[in-house]
Amino acid sequence: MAQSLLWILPLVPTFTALLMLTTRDRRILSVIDVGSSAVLFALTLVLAREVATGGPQALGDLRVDDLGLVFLLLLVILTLAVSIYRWGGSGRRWRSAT
Amino acid sequence: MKAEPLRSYFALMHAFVATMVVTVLADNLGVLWIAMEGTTITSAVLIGYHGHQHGLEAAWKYIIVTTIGISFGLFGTVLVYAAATDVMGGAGAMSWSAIMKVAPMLDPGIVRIGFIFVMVGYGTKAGLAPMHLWLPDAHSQAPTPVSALLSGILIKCALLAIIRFHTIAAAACGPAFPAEVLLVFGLTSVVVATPFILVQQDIKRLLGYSSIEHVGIVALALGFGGSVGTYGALLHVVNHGITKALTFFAAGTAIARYGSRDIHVIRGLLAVAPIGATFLMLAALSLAGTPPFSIFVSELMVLRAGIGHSHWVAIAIFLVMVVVIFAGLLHHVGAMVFGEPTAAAGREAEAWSPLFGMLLLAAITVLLGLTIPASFSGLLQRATEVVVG
Repeated sequence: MAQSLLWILPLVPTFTALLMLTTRDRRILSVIDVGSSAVLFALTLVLAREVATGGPQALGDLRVDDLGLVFLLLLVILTLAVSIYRWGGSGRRWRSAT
Repeated sequence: MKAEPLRSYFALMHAFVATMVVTVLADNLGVLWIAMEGTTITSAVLIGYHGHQHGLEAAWKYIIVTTIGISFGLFGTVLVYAAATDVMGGAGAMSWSAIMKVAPMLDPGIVRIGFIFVMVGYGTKAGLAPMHLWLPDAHSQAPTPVSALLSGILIKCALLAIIRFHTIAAAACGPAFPAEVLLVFGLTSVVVATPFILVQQDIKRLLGYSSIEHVGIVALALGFGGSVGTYGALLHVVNHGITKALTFFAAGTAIARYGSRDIHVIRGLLAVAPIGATFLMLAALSLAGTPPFSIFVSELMVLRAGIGHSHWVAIAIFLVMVVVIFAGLLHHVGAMVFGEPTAAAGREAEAWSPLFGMLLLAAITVLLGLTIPASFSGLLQRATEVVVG
């Protein structure tokens, strides 16, 4: 499970990026944005639990240990916060800042 | 924004996140380098996203400076690979975890040169002075969420790469050499950032220089070394990442309201956007290292590590700079938050989603200032053991 997550984690934002390119509706873009960030966050929490109980996990050239996990957790928290921050932005002044 | 550029903006943001995820998870040092280059490509497009002259200029500067820098990182990687190949043959000689098993047997001369190359290379990406030239321009010209990710996590990804090589170098050459290199770069960054923070008129450039200072503090903490220094460095990585993203969010909403990044134009924010102004003040207090916010705790830990290892000169310089920055930062932000609003101030109601994003980060900033949860502290302890053994 944990080893599969090592491959799944980078694929979540990659597929989200591709999905974004096929979407035109602004509201759907926001929903996919927050949804993807939330999924990434949740999967990282699962991985964190696996690492806490089973130690470092590796698959091919990817590996997660406690050191990498600190940075990964920071990354997913900020990604989620950024998605919430720009959720449903409307108005000229607001759009100019995003 | 029209639908076309908006969707490419969202797509690029997630591509940027994907490259950072690979950077953090990479065990292979070659994959780490490629992923780091990937972050440059995706984030450069985002920095120049608005398409105006200054943005494009900043994006090009970012590409040129970081690409030159990161090529030094490649030289360093190849040197460490060469040293590892001598000991373990070709198989696994690019894997960080495999190299760590034989690190004490690596040629210290080659690893020493490799580590300097890595410090210059990944240090450029991390925004360490004197290779920081891209950072203030990129942070100020990028859209606010991009600035938050650049400062909050991208420069930390480069720091992770430095930490990985630091552990190899410490095992191969002894801890003193990499510690001295980190101390020099760390102190230089803190000293170089200070005057620029004082004289800044552009709020986002101000935050960019503040990032250089804080990356310097992390390098300083790693240089002080030991369990306390490393724990403090990792805690500061998290604290600064969260706080700086919060500050960019708060600054971004202020910029949108006033239509300007000029500190002299943004005045009286408290009167027109009280919640956003509160978050900006809270973030500035935390960034300046005021108790009870999170950065105070990690800076105190860095100080403790320095005292523990008797780095008196470094501590004295660090303390003077932190006090000066404290005064400068609060002077700038105080002027923006209080007083009479200028004519440029927009009077529309505050949007809820940016406030909710800020609330999430502010809650973490306050929480980590008051107490470090046991599970998170345990994670930091185990991460510290990965670095110091």
